[in-house]
Amino acid sequence: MLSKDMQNVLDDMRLYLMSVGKSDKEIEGIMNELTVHALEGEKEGKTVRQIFGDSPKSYVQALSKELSSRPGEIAKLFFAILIGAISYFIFSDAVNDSLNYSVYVLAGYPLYILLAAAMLPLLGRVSAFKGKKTAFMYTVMYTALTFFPILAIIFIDRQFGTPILSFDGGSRWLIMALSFLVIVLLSFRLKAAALSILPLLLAGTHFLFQYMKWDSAGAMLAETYIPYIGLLLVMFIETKRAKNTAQYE
Amino acid sequence: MSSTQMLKGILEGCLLAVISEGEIYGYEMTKVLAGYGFSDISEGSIYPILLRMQKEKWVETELKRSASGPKRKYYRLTPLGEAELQSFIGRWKALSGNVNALLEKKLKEM
Repeated sequence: MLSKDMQNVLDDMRLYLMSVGKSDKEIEGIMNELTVHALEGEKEGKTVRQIFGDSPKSYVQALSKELSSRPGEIAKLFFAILIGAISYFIFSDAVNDSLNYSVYVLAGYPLYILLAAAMLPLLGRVSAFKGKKTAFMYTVMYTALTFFPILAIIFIDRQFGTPILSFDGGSRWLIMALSFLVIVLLSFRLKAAALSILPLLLAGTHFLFQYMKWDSAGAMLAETYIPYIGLLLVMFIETKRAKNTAQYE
Repeated sequence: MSSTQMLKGILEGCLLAVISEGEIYGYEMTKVLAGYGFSDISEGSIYPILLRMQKEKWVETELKRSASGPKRKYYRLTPLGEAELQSFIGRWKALSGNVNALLEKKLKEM
């Protein structure tokens, strides 16, 4: 078991290498090797400084120069996030029977998702090795920056949008099934299988509340948050399980 | 110039020499180096060099299970690596000979 300091430095290194677009496979390889070194070093009483020098950031920058960049991998990842997020929005709309889209939504959401995805590596790069408080502050700033465009799209759509694309009846169910399939496939492709549970939680909660005729303001609020709380819980359990498995591999 | 900076340039050759003794993994290499007095450098500095050696095909690697934790990555010298080690030894002999000759002259003058 690694010390908290050592684990934090290794996590920051991984985050940095991912954010500068290094190959996933190569990151995995070198991080496993460094973890073995850190585990054996700590068993013999060695510190982060003895293993990674005075500046772990300079160390990982030197390491990064020796790893291959994969622009293709990044482009594929961007595309997967874009398609995944769009499928999620569509699935959510299909569940709520509101598959009506104005030109603002059709153009705004893809642009917004691209912008948010493009800013994500930047967040990783500025947050690594900055301490938990600063990293949290950057995450809050990122969330705020990516939240306002959504509000703007919703506002413009409500004020000026007229649906130019609508689906209902049988096509609604077909779209729901297709978008669900895309989310599940992409979740596994992105090695975030836990995400595929979100549409099930979303649809499950919605149809349960509809069946039980729970439609008070409180119930509607609960219906919105229950799927995300469920997802966080699943991800927490999954992370713990993955850590335990990695320890005994 | 500190001994750490001087050492960085020759660490690659030293690692080739360590690996030439037989299959070995990263942590063990740092212990061997420390045994020869190379304790000034941070242990992790061997990994960027090992990555470069893999790219140059001077070493080949194999993951092996260990009783004490995750799988270890073992390194072996390839024929290309062996040739590079011989070339390093030649360069080092010439360089150290020149430096020694120069310093001996300086020491006599002092």
